[in-house]
Amino acid sequence: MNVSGNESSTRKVRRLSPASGLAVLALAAALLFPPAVFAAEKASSGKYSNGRPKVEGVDEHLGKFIPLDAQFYDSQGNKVTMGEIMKKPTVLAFFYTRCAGICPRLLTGIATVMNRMPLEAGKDYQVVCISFDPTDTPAKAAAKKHDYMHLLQKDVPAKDWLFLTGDQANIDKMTQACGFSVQKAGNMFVHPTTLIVLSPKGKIVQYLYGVSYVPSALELAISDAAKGKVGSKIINTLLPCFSTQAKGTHIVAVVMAGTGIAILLIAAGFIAWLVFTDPKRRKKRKETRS
Amino acid sequence: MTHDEAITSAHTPPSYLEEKGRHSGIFAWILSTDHKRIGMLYLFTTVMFFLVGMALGFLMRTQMLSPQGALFKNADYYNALFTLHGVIMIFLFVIPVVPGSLGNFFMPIMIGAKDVAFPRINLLSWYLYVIGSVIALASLFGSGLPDTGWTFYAPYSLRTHADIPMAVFGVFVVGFSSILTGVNFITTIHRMRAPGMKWMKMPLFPWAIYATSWVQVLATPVLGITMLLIAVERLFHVGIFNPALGGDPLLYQHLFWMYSHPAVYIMILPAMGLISEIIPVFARRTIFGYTAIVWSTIAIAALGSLVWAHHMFTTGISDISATVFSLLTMLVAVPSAIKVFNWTATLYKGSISLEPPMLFALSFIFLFSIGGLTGLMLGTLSLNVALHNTYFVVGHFHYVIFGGTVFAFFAALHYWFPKMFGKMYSKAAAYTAWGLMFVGFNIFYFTFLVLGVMGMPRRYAFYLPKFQTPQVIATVGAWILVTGVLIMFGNLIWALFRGEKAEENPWGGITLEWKTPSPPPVENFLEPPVVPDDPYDFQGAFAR
Repeated sequence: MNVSGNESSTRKVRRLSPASGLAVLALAAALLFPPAVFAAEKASSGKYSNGRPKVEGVDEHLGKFIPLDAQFYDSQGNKVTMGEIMKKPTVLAFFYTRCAGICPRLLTGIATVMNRMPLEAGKDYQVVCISFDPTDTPAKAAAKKHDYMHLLQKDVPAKDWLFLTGDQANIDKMTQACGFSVQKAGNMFVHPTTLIVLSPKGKIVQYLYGVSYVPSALELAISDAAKGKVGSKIINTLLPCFSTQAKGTHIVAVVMAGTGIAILLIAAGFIAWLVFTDPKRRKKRKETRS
Repeated sequence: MTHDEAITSAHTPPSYLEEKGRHSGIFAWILSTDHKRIGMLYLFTTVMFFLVGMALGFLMRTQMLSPQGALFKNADYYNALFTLHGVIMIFLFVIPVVPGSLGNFFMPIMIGAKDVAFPRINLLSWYLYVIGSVIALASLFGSGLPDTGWTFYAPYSLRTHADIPMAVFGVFVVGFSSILTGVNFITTIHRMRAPGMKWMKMPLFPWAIYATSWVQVLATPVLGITMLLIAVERLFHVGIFNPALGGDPLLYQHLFWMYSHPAVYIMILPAMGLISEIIPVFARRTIFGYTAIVWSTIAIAALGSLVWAHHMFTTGISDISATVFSLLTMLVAVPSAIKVFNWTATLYKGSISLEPPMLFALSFIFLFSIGGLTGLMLGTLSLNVALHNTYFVVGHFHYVIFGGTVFAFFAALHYWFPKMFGKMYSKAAAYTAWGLMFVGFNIFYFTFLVLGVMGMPRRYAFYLPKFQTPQVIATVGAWILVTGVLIMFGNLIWALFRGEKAEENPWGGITLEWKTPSPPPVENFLEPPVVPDDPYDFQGAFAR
């Protein structure tokens, strides 16, 4: 080993030690690795056909309009078009009633931010939640509405937090216009979670991701919406909603456990080497023996 | 040269700055295996990155002067600014700065060694750091402006210009460099302490470097694993992180924070070591609770590896894990607080001289305490939800990282500058710089805490008019801070060329680096260093 003690008299030019040789090899391998991966990926590109649900996420359609002729049913079963609903700045969210993943947190997040914002629902804005599950009915939507209206600590008129259901054609019209992608997985859905803020004329002005919203961020978006001013992309993490465990999780668990153990073993070996082959310690042992 | 010859020799050997090696010009530096020269390479590169990062931050602050944006109307530029500011400051400056520059330069001297255990690997580490930095920065500009934030999360639409695998690879190369540095330092401390330098006689900065090195060695491989998993996903189309393949992006966040949270301790532990060196020297008093500081250093290193998930309270992890991680977060505060109490107790009845390094060190204690306490507020589950994604978070981590690590770094820069270069800076300029920085810093970041409580969301290029007054106050604070920083570096650079010759031991320190000429000779000591019984025994030193 290449440990220069205090005794060594001159600064020698060191030979390549096994340790540095190993390091150079590891480095070379590491440097060649990503280009190899990218090349291989290019060769196999376009083969995403493994049958697993795909999430495209959200393709922000800022500045575009939602279809005002899309037709839905409100929670009392009345037929309404988006054009009839759009009278004020609108916070739009997509969900479905059977969702056991993030939708309940999305709806709770909406109720929370409505409570915390100084703006008044009904006067300054309205909230519209649209189910993308065509099997959802006004009755199911009404049950959800009842639950979540309960969380509000303010007086919000029932007509200002709408829970809409509709048929596949109208759902597609709306989700496509918003760049919101939904995939069927079994009888459940894989989908992102986002609030979409619309101007009174139905122009898309802002997307807000996640399930917990900063009140003044939404306030800013709503005040932009009132003026019809299109906001900008905000960097935040997309939160996709799954009802099933992601397939890769177990691989990660195995890899993590494996490498974790390997790293600890290597570290233990390193300590053992440091302590047991320490020249000072050996010297001491020899002294005590003699 | 044997020691006897060194003593009898009429000429003192040249300092490491003057040494003529095999190479000349710039090669004498970039091919040098002298730990002191490598430390200088790190110092130069990290400070360069700091200045670039500061310029980006300055632009961000200027943008926030007006609710509609004072500089640009397109948020993409703002997104690019804070992404670059974060990546440069965290990965290229704060993580490597103290171990790379001061750790390299002073740790071997303070334990009485001639160099580190593997000098050539040491140089390799610096090259890896530079290569990794270039890769990480290049990846951000894949095909447009950077838009990921410093965490490289696949953002809003899962579509980003940045080449995420390349970015993680770049960070991994930088991390690999810290693994090598870590192994190097651990071996050096185990094997190369001067005779008589027992573990419990070791000064606290080498102790801090030792604990940090272990965190580096154990935590950084996580980045390698993440790299590997990304590669597996891309090559074999196994869904791991990418929801398009049925993977889970949350996993990426977990893995990222498994590295990045311990990285917070890689940033703060060496800084705490620096403070433990400076406080006793300027209080002329032995450090209070040496053993407690050593053990709390180890405790922070150990606990720090367990708190990673507290960054994800609002991202949908289970309530039980959130509670457990909330508790662990609280626990880390205990050893940190022990240190703060020990430093304060060291000051008690000390004979304090407020030289520039001491002022920076005392500011560290003040600012770091605010950072720590606001961190506790964020660690509390109920408050986190209200303050999540607001300026409060930004204010908190600038108090910890800038007010903590960076102020400690500046303190040590002023403390060791005469030793490193053999020149003395102007104290008047140093006091002015410190005053401006301290005042500017607090105007700037305390306003951020207030803005956070008012509900100003982070990462927004535009904001509601009601936030304008505090935004302008914060920007003015930032200008004062930047002025202070520029005066400080200007003063140091001036001293480098025009400064008076420094004494060997201008502050009356008694650790080993003060028992060698300034700047130190190539082999660090002219004669074998005599290890004091207690590295901070000032009374004993005076008695002698």
